[in-house]
Amino acid sequence: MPVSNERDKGVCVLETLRKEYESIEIPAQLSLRVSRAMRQAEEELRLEEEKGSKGEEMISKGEETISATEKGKEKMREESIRETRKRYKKVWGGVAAALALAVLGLGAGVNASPAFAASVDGIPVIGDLARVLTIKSVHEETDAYVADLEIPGIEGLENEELQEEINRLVSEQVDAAVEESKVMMEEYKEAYLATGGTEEDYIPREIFVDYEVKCISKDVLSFAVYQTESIASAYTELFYYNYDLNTSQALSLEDLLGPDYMEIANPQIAEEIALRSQIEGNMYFDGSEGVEGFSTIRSDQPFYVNEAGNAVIVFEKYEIAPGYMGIQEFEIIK
Amino acid sequence: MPATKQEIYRALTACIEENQQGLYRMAYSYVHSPETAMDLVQETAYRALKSHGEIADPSQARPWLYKVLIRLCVDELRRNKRLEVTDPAQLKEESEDPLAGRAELMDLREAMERLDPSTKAVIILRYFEDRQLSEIAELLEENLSTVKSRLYRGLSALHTEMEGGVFACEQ
Repeated sequence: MPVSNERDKGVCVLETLRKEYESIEIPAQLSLRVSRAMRQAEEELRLEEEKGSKGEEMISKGEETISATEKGKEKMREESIRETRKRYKKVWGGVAAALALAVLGLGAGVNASPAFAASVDGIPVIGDLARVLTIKSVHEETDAYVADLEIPGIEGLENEELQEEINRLVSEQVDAAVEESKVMMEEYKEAYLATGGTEEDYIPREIFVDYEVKCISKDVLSFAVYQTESIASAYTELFYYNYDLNTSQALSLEDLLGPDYMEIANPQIAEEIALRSQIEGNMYFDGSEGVEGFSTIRSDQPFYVNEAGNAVIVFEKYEIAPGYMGIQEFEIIK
Repeated sequence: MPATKQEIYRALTACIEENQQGLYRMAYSYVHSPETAMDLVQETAYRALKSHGEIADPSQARPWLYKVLIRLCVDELRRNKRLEVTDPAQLKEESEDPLAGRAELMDLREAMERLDPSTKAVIILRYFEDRQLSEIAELLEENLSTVKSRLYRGLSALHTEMEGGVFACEQ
């Protein structure tokens, strides 16, 4: 009979769709990532509560650097700087959170507060030597994007020429990367409007630049600069700066590991991948389904030097493993 | 007695833990990419907790969570309109699906995809997550009659007879 057929069909449709919905597999990583996000939020909320004088110190430091910004009289919003920094911690799962905070505190902070200095553990800063700090802090808002940039520079290097060179290089690279992002953001917005979105509904995308000191000693300077676009974007651009402070030259993997650097690094990486693959939920490309996995590092493979003085090789998202595995790092022991 | 921020915060935390899978499935229904869906759920958890001051009562925790998620999904969809991502694993699954005739299933999926985000949310929440229309109205910030029209429009788009289908499913 027609009526009951229709009704059955109706039930059937929704049941089918419902079964489909329920069969959506939950990735193993989900719960970990959600916990991470929750802890992040908790941490930030707690810090915000403890604001008080620390916040004021940040604001006054901020005002010093603001004179270097393009817009000149942009009012530094403490909130947004903290947001940015924490968002950065969020993106990289809290990597060296203490470091990021330490650097924000700028040079003076290290000596001024014992608690502060304690958070910088693992990074020997000798005397009034070199420091990595924010030399340009930018907050820029247009209708297409919001940019929060903490651009680092070096201070106190014995070799002033090197110092200038590094700072210039960082500035240039970051500016170029940010320009590219801005252009893309404008395009996103145009596409959005072209597909029927309205001006009022458009939420500007965000561009973040931040940095992390990896190692700063009398011999080695190593720091990373990250550029990321907002939230659900997989896009992160990484820049690493590694310098031998004795020779005033940029450090290469060959410098650190010798001319056989590939033969030294590759087996260690392969072994580590095998180990990590044993953890449930981890996955690396292995040539199946036509996606090649790790076979060798490139001669221009990004790396940084950690506090132990070892090279840490970095693979960007998607390079040797699916996106959810994130950025992959491997410490190479000489 | 009005709820304290602590109570709200705790309710939200519990809510996130209980609902993370539902949130994931919902996000996945929009973006069809496990990585993006996870990012969205992660971001939702983060934002919902950071902005817990915006709700007045623990009972608003779940609608708040879904509200944040849907906004983020819609955002993501608009941004990637040109880049329709189809999960290859899903495509493979689809071809092996014993559940329904292939053509019909594809039609259904397409119909689901063509629903506007809010209507899709109504269908998912009502029929896959068994929510009350009143909660759906709250999280979409629309009135009940609007939600009902969405429901009916959605069902009809899915080729489900209103009288027959609604009767059967509203049991």
